[in-house]
Amino acid sequence: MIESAPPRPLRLGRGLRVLNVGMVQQSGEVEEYDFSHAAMTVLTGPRNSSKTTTLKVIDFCFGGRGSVAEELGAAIDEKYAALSVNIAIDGVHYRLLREFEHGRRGRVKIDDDTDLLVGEVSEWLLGKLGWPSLSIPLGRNAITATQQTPLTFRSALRHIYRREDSWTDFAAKEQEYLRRAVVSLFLGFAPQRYETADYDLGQAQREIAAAEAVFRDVLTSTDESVRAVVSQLGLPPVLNSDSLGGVRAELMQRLAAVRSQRDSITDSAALAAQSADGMPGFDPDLPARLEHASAQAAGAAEEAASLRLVVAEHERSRSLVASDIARLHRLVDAVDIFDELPVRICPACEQSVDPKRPHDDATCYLCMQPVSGDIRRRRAEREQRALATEQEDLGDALSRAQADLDGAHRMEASATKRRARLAHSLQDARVSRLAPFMAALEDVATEIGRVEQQLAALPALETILSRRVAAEQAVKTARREVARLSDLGNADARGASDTSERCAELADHMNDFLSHFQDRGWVAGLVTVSADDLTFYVGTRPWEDNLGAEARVLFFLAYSFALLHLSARPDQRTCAPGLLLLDNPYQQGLSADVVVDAISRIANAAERLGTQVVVTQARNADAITAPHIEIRMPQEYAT
Amino acid sequence: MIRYRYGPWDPRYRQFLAFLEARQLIRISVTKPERVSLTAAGLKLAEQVAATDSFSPIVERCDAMVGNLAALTGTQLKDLVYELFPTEVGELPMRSEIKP
Repeated sequence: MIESAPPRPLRLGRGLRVLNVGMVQQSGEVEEYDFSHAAMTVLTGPRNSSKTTTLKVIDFCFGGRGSVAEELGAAIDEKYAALSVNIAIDGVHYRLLREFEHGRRGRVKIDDDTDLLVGEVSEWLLGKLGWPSLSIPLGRNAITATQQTPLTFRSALRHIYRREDSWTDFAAKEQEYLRRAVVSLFLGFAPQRYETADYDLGQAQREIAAAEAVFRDVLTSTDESVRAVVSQLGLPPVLNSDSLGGVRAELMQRLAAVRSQRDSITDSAALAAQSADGMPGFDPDLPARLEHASAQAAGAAEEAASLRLVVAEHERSRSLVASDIARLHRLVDAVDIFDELPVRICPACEQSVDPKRPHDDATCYLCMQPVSGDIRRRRAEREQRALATEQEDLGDALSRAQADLDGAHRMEASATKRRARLAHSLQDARVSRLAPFMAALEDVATEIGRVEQQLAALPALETILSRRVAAEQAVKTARREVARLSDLGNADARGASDTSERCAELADHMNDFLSHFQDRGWVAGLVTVSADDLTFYVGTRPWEDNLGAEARVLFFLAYSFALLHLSARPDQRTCAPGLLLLDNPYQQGLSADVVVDAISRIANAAERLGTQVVVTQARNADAITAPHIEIRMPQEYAT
Repeated sequence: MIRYRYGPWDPRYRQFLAFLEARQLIRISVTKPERVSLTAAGLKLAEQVAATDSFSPIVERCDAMVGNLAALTGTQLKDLVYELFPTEVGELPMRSEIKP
């Protein structure tokens, strides 16, 4: 470590400071780089001496999402077991540790007491820095954006950590809406810009358009439906939900009147039926005769049913007897067949037995016990004869039962026919008496049916109309929301009057820096920052249209210089990073003495403002005139 | 037939088998499970019985089973019986007689 000038120790003021980077090897040996001795620390060394890697380690500990091999290289993954960075935020110390052991790679340990997922570190840093956690519209125009994305610490880090490959752009592959969000975050008006109602207003305007489309559609379809139902059912005109109540009351009244009319006709018909018993031509015995005929028909049906059961029972018995006879036939046949088959093996001991073994005729040749004659055949034949007799008896009984059943069927048919004839006569007589009332009753019934149908259609109409009301309500709500958000937006615009002032101050610092390099790499005009869309102009054109490669390097050195000066702003809204990480600013053929001058100016500013700058470069730092500490990287790795 | 745990069974089968084995009409293997097969004399006698008129209903029933139920395993037969006759067989108490 070589001291080229007597620097003051790093001041731990507002914002972020990197105090120390530690790399723990697999062997347990620890490499440490201390950045706390001066406002500017310059890491020097030849190619492949880990200058850039050291800055990448800081980036990685701040929540780099890739694997160790992707972010830092396979060699670091193999050599080291853990990486750490000691930082200070607003003067408070923290240690961020990333370990490579299995299960720990996606986590960051903070001060040995907080264990975060890598994705949570950004939120933690924003919280400790006191910077707002915002969601920004995913697109340049907040009004037309349909999604939002979080504004993270890592997005801001890309503006203060200028990598070797990002000296010609704000940050590699950075979207314009994100760049504007980061600049507005640093300048302190991101909350005004993104917590305003712009995005919500756009959303509300889209919702109002959708609600109006739905309302138009609903209006057309409900009008047609209501008109069709009303015309088809002959309902009174229905204009809206309120008029349905009146229609319902009117229909209920009509229904009550028609029902009353029906009751009156029914009573008159009943009276006429009672008084008509003595009318000429009417047989007063007809009901009694019908009753008698009905009783006879029921009796005949009952008798026929009983006889059907008897016949079925007889048939079943005859079938059982037949099957028993067949079984006995099989028995007799089996006796004949098996009689000729003597036992040749003892079933108990399984030894062979000779059927010709000498024995008495009256004894068993197997067990020598006395045997009697085989009577199975005779017994079976006797049983067969008995069953045949039984079968004949059953046949006779069945014939008789079948004859009785046929008679009962005839009687049942005759009684049923007589009952039908009498019922028909009685019906005719009653119809002729009630005929004068029927037409009126039919009319009334039709009217009741019509009114009931109309009433039944009302809930459906109510549902249809309620859709219209709901759609109308949705449009009103959406319009109210748009009006409210518009008012809110106007109020925000009035409250953001110092936006231009802050943009101008940033541009002034850049111009102040760049004025020293006029004709030494900087030939363009003044830098201005548009307060509306945070576009950086050089002269009259956007910076990227006006600057060549060398001038771009100076532009970003100026931007870095201006970011350091945010720490001088007294207000708490400004999100001053207080830290710059500049990886090899000797880029794009810019003259080395110009770069040295630029670095010296940035270092002087850091010293004066109490902020921090870490620079890497291949050459030694002797040419830098500002106070600084140089760390020569100890190892050079073979490529 | 009697309701046993694995379906209908007739305990007299054992006696019938002893009857037939004593007359050298069948042979029973000593393997597990036991296999019963007809001897030449048994086959001849079976043909004689099958030709008898009184046994024709039983022969018809056996013919109907060939290639149908006869191909099922014991478990499949048991399942089929329980499925087709849940009341007549499945719900009967153990060792009670199954009636037609």
